[in-house]
Amino acid sequence: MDTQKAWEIENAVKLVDPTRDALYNYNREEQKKITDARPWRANPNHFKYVRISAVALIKMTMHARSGGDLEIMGLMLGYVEHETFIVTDALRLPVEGTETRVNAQSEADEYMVQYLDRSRQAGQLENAVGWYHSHPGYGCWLSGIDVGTQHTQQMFSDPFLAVVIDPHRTISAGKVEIGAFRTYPDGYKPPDSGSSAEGMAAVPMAKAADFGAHANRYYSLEVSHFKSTLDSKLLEALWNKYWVQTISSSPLFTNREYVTHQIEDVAAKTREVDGGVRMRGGAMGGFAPRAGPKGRKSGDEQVGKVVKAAEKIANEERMGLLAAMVKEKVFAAGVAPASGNGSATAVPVGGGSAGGDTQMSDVKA
Amino acid sequence: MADQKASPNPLVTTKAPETTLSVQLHPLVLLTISDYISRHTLRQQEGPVVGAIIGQQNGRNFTLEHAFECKLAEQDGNIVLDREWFAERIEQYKDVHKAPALDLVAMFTMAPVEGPQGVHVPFMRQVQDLTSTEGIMLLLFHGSQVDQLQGGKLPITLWESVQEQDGEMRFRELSFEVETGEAEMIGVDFVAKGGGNATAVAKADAVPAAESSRKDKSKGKGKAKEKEEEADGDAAMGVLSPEDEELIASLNAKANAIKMLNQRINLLRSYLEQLPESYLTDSSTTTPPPDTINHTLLRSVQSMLSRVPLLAPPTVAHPTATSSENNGGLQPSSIAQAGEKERQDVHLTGLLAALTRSVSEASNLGSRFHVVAKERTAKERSGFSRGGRGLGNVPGGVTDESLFA
Ligand SMILES: [Zn+2]
Repeated sequence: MDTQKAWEIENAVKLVDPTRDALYNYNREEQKKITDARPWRANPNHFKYVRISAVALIKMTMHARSGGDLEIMGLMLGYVEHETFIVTDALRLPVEGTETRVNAQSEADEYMVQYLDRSRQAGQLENAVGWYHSHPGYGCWLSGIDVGTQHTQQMFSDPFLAVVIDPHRTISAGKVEIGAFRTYPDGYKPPDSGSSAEGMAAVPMAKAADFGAHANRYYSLEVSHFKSTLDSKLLEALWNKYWVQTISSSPLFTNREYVTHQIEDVAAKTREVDGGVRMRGGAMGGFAPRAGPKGRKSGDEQVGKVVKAAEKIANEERMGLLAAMVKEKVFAAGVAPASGNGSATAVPVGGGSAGGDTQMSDVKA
Repeated sequence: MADQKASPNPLVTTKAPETTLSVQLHPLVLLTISDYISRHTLRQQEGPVVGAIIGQQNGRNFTLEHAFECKLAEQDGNIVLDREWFAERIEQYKDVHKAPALDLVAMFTMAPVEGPQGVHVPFMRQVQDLTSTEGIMLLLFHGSQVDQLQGGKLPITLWESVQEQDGEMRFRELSFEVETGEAEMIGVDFVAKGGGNATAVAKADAVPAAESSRKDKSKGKGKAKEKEEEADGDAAMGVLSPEDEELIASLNAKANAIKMLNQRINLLRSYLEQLPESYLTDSSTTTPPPDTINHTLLRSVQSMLSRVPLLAPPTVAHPTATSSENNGGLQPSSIAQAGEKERQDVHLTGLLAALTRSVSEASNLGSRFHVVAKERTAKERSGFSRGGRGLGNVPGGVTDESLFA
């Protein structure tokens, strides 16, 4: 056992805090008890929260991004505690283009089984608690196929969770765009049978029908992430290494194509809404729709979505411009002090705050 | 990164290499090791922390991108990898990292700051044997350094193995850079910002802390009602909209980065200030510079200075400014023009968004007005029905039948 000791001269015990890092622990018996009791069977809304570890979140984000315009898919390992899924790790599955193929997941089954087997042998005891996949550019929600997949998983391998990541929007928004979902059992009608769509203003035209058709068959869970004490210390040290990228990034440039797509989409939606208004308003057009309150309400909703989508684009663009301005101020200000853009640099701030003002006054109106 | 200790490690060679490796470490590797250490320790698992790192190799350029823990075995009293397990695991990882193709580039474990230990030699020999390459590096995580990290120093060192002429294996320390992909950086930033620690989930409504992703939770609520609530909330607690929060976060990150840049520049400046006068430009000094001067550093400072003006091409199109300048750059440079165009595009999207909202608001007003007007006419009709035909004297002529026809 001398060799064993020689390997372990460096003691890791000091590096963890049993209380603060409790989620990194795992109790197999406890999990077995929970899985046997199945509290989620009694309540379709049993699970409300998801907590994702730093590594799992970064792995999934990078995987989603690596797929580009192709949908990718993977599994999440973890466990459940009360009403919360704890995702401790994520693994890639060797399938792509999952959105268009119903049986994509079964293709990866063999890989999955062997991978998990090897993980267990190496001491990683957690079970698969969910699957993740990407929606490049079309937001985090479940399509018809996704609902089917998730529904089957919940029947046969519950507790199971579906996570969707939008890599394109992650890049443009500068933060991880992620959603977590569970489907309702067959025949269950959620209490507010309104659309779970309300917050999802930005589903593109091409996907709107798919989105609308299944929006009532699942609900979303609140996603947060966690990191260990050691992670926190390393992240702090890491930031000292990658701060350069914080200044040097050019979001306006990197996102140009994505933004153009978004604008096209808003334009198409605007046309559709416009058509709707004309239909309802008849020859007189304008703001006195003849349709009953119901038709008008859905019209307003649609307009609302367009507004939200447009403001989202404007906001992201504004952040991009600010990034460019900061860069210019820092690196160019001293070199060309009396530049012709003196006035121009003042405008964005004014323009930005003007946009903010309209929003504020709207809210207060 | 080398820590010079009193007693030199016999396994470490300081002989200069024939060619230098360029190594780029991705944060995910570090966080995976950290995750592994936390799990391993809390679960009181047996055996040392050992794992593999996969990445790209391009000549003498390496990247360290993903890491995973390994199953170990004992062989002749030495701790080594479980051959069969390892072979299969590496294939599993290669299967899902095909573009770009990743392969084994390094192993990791925990070790004291002195560097590689005797036990690492048979281990690394086995790895070389398994992979039939000599280029597998060894990354050492120094737990004892974690609490004394300064100025962005990471608690790790990286080593390449060297076959000495006496047949022994030695290790040479390698330098590395931290490199992040775009999505990786956003992910790392995302987890770095949130204050969420990993305390156990309490029963019932333990609401996860503030870093939860803001999802619009308003399901099927009337739009007006939703807005009222928002307004109330804003007034009561001064809560910012998610967009504003995002903007502030991104500006804060930039501010911190600029502070860091400033620190680095000051560091360089104070270094330069304490250097002796140059004997090249100042003819009065006759003493040659001391050997300690870091010429590589000075050269890169020089080349950076010569590149600074490129960052700001002459954007001078200002009439007053140009008249006094002699470069005659009346036309703004193409970069400035492109920048201006970009600016205009951004403002245009802003204007269009504001316009869209105005239209929506106007439409809303229209519908509400319609409801009010309808109600009023209904009232008047019922009122007038007793006193005969009404005069239609409602202000603004809202009774205009054509509106409701
Ligand atoms: Zn999907």
